[in-house]
Formats: sequence, C-alpha cells, structure tokens
Amino acid sequence: GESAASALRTALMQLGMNAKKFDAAKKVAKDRREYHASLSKLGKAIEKAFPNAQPPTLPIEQPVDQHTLDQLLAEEFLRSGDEKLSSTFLSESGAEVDTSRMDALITLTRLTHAFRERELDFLISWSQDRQELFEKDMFAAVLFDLRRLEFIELLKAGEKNAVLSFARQYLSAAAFRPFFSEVEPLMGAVLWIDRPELSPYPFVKADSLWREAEGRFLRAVCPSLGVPPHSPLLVTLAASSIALPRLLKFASISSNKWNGSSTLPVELPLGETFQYHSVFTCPVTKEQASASNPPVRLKCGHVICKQSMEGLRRSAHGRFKCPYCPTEMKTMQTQQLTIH
Amino acid sequence: MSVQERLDGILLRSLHDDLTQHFKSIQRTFEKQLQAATDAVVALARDSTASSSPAHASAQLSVAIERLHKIRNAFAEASKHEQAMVSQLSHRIEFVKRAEACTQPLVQPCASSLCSADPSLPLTHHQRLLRLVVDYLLRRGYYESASLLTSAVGIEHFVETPLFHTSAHIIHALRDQDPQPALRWCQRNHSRLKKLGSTFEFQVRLRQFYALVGAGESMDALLVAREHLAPHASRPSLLQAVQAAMGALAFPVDSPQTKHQFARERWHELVEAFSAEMFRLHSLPTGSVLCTFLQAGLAALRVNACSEQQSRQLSCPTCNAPLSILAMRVPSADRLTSRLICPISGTSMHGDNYPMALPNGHVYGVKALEEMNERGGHVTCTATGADLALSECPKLFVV
Repeated sequence: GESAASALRTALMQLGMNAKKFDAAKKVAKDRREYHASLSKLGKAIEKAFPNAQPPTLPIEQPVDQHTLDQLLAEEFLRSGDEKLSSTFLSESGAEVDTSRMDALITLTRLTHAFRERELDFLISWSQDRQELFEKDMFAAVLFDLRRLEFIELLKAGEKNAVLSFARQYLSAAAFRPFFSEVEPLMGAVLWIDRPELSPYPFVKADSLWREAEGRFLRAVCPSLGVPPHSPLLVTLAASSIALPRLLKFASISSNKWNGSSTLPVELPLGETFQYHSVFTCPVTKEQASASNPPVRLKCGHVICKQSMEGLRRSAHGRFKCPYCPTEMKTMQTQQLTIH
Repeated sequence: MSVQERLDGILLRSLHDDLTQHFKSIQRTFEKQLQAATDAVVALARDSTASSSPAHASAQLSVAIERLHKIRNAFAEASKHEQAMVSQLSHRIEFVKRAEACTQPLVQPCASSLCSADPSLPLTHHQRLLRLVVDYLLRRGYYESASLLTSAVGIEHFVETPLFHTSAHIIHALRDQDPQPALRWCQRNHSRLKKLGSTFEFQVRLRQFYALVGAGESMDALLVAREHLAPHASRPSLLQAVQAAMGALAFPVDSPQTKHQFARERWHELVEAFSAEMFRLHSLPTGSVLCTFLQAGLAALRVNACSEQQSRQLSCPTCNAPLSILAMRVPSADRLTSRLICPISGTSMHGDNYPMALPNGHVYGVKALEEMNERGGHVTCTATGADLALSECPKLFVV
C-alpha cells in the first residue's frame, strides 16, 4: 500500500542518483582517454618517421595504357605457374595472349619449376627430345651441365661403382671433349666420396652450379621460344627502384610535361647488368646514334655520328679534319658502322 | 627515404587517420547515447507516474535496460572493428621494422616471374612490389585476381581491399545513374569531406537535379535544387553551376544548350570524381603507383636501338611487346657516354678490349677477334663469310 509506494519512490530516486553519479558517458570518455593519448602519440611518431610523405608522380602527358598493362600482367601471371591466378586474371581482365606465346610461357614455367625441384631426368629427356630448340653451339654445354649435376648427385649418394660407371658411360662422350678440363675435378672429387666434408672441391655442396646450369639452359632455349628468361616486369621494376628517385628529383625542377619523343636532360645510370644494347653517343653532339644517324669511322679511327661528319664536310668543302686529331680526309675514306 | 619507404609511410598514415576518425566517431556516438540513456533514467526517477505505479515503473525500467543492452552490443561491434584496424596497423608497423632491418642489397633480378619467390629478392622487397600490382588489380576492378595474389604472398594487411569493395558498390550504382549509395557515403564522411573542401556532394546533387529535369520531374528537381544546391551558392565557384542548373529548367530537354547535361558521360565523370575524392579522403595515392614505377623503369631502360627491328634483343624489356608499347609514351634519359658491348663475347668494348671494325662495318671487341684469329688463322666476316686478316680491321677510338 502506502509503504510499498514510498519504497518504490525511494528506490527510483536512488536509481536516479546512482545513474547521475555513475555518469556513464563521462566514464567511457575517461577510460578511452589513455587510448586516445597513445593513438595521437603514434600519429606523431608516424609523421616524424615519414615527414610529409607524398606518392610519386611523373609529369608524363600520356598515361600508361591500361589494356597493354593488363596484357603484360597476363603474361606475368602465366609465368608464375599459378594456373588459377592466370586463368582468373584472363577472364576478369579480358586480356588476350596468343596461343604460341602462351605455350612458350607455360613451357618456360615448366622448365624453371624443373630446375627448382631439381628434376634432372625430366630436364635431360626434355632436352634430348628437342635438340633443335637449343642455340646450336650451346646444346653440348647444356647437356654437359646436366650430366655433371647428375654425377654430383651420384657422388653425394656415395656409391663409388655407380659413379665410375656413370662417368665412363656419359662423361667421356665425344661431344663433351671440349669440357674435358671440367671432367678432371669431377673425377678428383671421387677420392673424397667417403668423406665429403674433407673434400677440397666446393662444388659438391654448392647451389651455384644449379643456378649457372639454369641460366645457361634458359639462354640456350629462350631465343627459339621467343620469350625472355627473366620476367620483364621484374626487370623494369628493379630498374625503376634505381632510377625513380633521381627522376622524381628532376621532375620537381622541370616545368613542362614529358612525352614519348622527349629526351630528358638527365642521366639515369643503371649499371652494367641492365645494359642490353650497345649505345654509341657522338662525342660532338652528345646524342645517341640511331638508324638514321649511325656512327661513322673517320680515317684516323675516331668515331663520330654521321650527321656530325656531314656538318664537318659541308663547312670544309672537300677535305675535312677530324675534330680530335690533325688527320684530314675525304668522305670516301670514312666507313659507316653498325653496332648492336 | 626511398620511394617504397614513402609508400610505407603513406599506408601507415592513411590507416592511422582512418583509425583516429573511427575512434572519434565511436566517442561521439556513444557519449551521446549513454548521456541520453542516463538522462532517461534520471527522468524516470523524477516521474511521478512511475513512482506511483509499479507496473509502469517496471515497464519503463525494461525499456531502459533494453536500451543499454543495445548500446553495449553496438559498442562491442564498433570495438571489434576498431580492434581489427589496430591489428592491421600493427602489422604494417611490423613490416616497416622488418624492411628496415633487411640489409640485403638489391641485385639483378633473375626470377622468371614476379610472383614466384626468388632468393635474390628479399621478402619485404618482393611484398612491396606485389602490393603495387594488387593495388592496380583492385583499381581495375579485378577483385578475384587481387584476392588470389594477396593471399599467395601474404600481403592482406597492406592492401585496401575493403575500401575498394565499398567503392565498387558506389561506382556500380553511379554507372547505373543511381546516386543513393554515393550520397550515403557523403553523409557518412561529411565532416572529413567538409574539411577537405570537397564539392563532390554538390556534384552528385547536381546530377540528381539534371536527371529529374531530364525525366520531366520539374517539381522534384526544384525541391532538390532548393534543399541541396542552393546552400552551396555562397561559394563563388559553384554559384555559376547552380544558376546554369536553374536555367536548364527553362529549356526543353533536347535543346542544344542543355543536351550535354543529360548525357551518360556526365555520370562517368562523376565516377572519376568519386574515385579521386575517395582516395583523397583516405590520403591514398590518386593514381596507380605501379604505373609511375613502370614509367620510370622504362625511361631508364629505353635506348634508340629498342625501336629498331634489327637491333632487337630478346632480354631487353623495352624491345619487346607489351612493354615496348608502353615505352613509346615515356621519355628517354640522356646517355652522355658510349657503352659498347661485343656481340660475340658479350663483354664491354673498352680498355683492353677495344673495338675494331670489320670491312662490312660491324664492330667487335679485339679480344673476340684475336680468339677467332688464333683458332682459324684468320677472321671470318660475319656478314659475307669472307676470311680476312686481323690487320685488315681498323681499330676504333671511341671517346
């Protein structure tokens, strides 16, 4: 009755007071204050470690053509050996790779896989069945590489008789005559067949022989397959990590947009490993030679580009002089050169 | 700081900003909700009706409890999401540490594929390259391929997959001329967009306005104009657009002055604007960084010989399709000194191995020619097959 109602009233008032005292909103804010402090400290640390990091952009007029890039990625994924990835990408992107190229890339993938898994039997029988695919003077060398690796496997297994009969059957073949000097250390290694850890011949343990064999094998086969042994995308990205910082710096001071016909007045040296062509730069004009402006040998042996020579000839009327030595000559005493 | 390190920083900052934003929005939402819940309980305590009727009081209390449960569940959800972001951020930080600790220098890549692991390529570097590829795949909308590649290399924490999925939904709708998902996105990110000075929401409303005009719904268009276009008229850059929009109401739909406003292309432009704005909002690069890297690599690699059929080399990336096509749009770098390679031996033709010319004009290194001479007693011309004496080949002086 009356007491129950007043008890209820008191209880409710108590509830009201507690709720107000508890102040849930403020409590949550307080609990998270420390978290917030760490978060902003982290933010400052990130900003300090990467001050005002901006994404790289180059002032190139025409953007990269996406269909062509899709094409490149399609080939790249075919190289990966991941069938699901390459077929998914082909269907999602609609990129088309012609059959012969696809076959070549799949073959390349199979071969690199075989080298990784050290499938010597497969590699030897594959090579023997397709001798015509190899560059003519490299077949013997490639086969020797593979036989040598086979020999080393037998050596590791420690069966002296097997090793010797293998050597007699395969290593003494007439085709391997030019490599005789390389057979000698192999035979020498047999002396340590029982105690390989004492062997002075490092190749028994080294992986480098496998890598060299793979390199030689692919160099011999890829020209007929028509695909490069190394991923062109990977090579380009590697070149980029060297060149991009310099190019960005140059871009920040260059005011106009670049296009495919411009030559930027900045050098982007990549080192010898990225050099695939000979480059001749005329010492007079500092310009690269091209099919329309080839290098020319002057009578004295100095080489300048054709346009430079024509320039000298025109202003001299008849005999003209080499810019680098006192030799005089007429046009017919010069020789047009071809570099690769 | 290398470019890849910069990208690491950009990814860290972007995620940290998103996390901070999320944190603040949780704070705001739940503070408000809890305050309201507390106030309701306090009000209940003072409510004379409640204190007199136990049934009424009990009903009100149930409502209050229900409300608190709801808040707790929502908070738990939001916390879970927050936790996931924190975890992802810590993965990215771990990566930066690992990358920093990696002292292995970059060597000439010898892998046959970017996707397969290679001992010459440190893992962190490999992952950084692949994240560029995955980013490109996501931007193109190839979600399945992106997902396969991501899990193959373990870079789930470095790619913005959920972001692209959300944006795909919005882009798809915009292509179908449905502005609603885009508008909801604008509302969700209202304060951040405002801070950026974004006009994107205005552009969407403008499209919506024109769509209504085009459909003959002039009254609805006017409502949209009053509610959503007029408030922006204070900005001088947008005033003209508002006036043009209102002007369009006066013309018939197919009149030449306003026809272009109803074209499909306007919606495609909106898609582009959305993409750009979304990347800006999350402090991510607007364009594919993979493309920038490719452009730089191609500029550094290409030489005049690459565009000439007879000097094509199998291994040169810029000589062969498809990269040769991309290389054509990229400038080439200066090459101020000659570097000649002997076609026979593959070694550089300078110093001891000076270049010599055959009568046919082809150039070879002296060492290779001497070797040929030793083996056969003479030098064989590569083009004609004729035998020559070494003395017939002039020495070249290349500066």
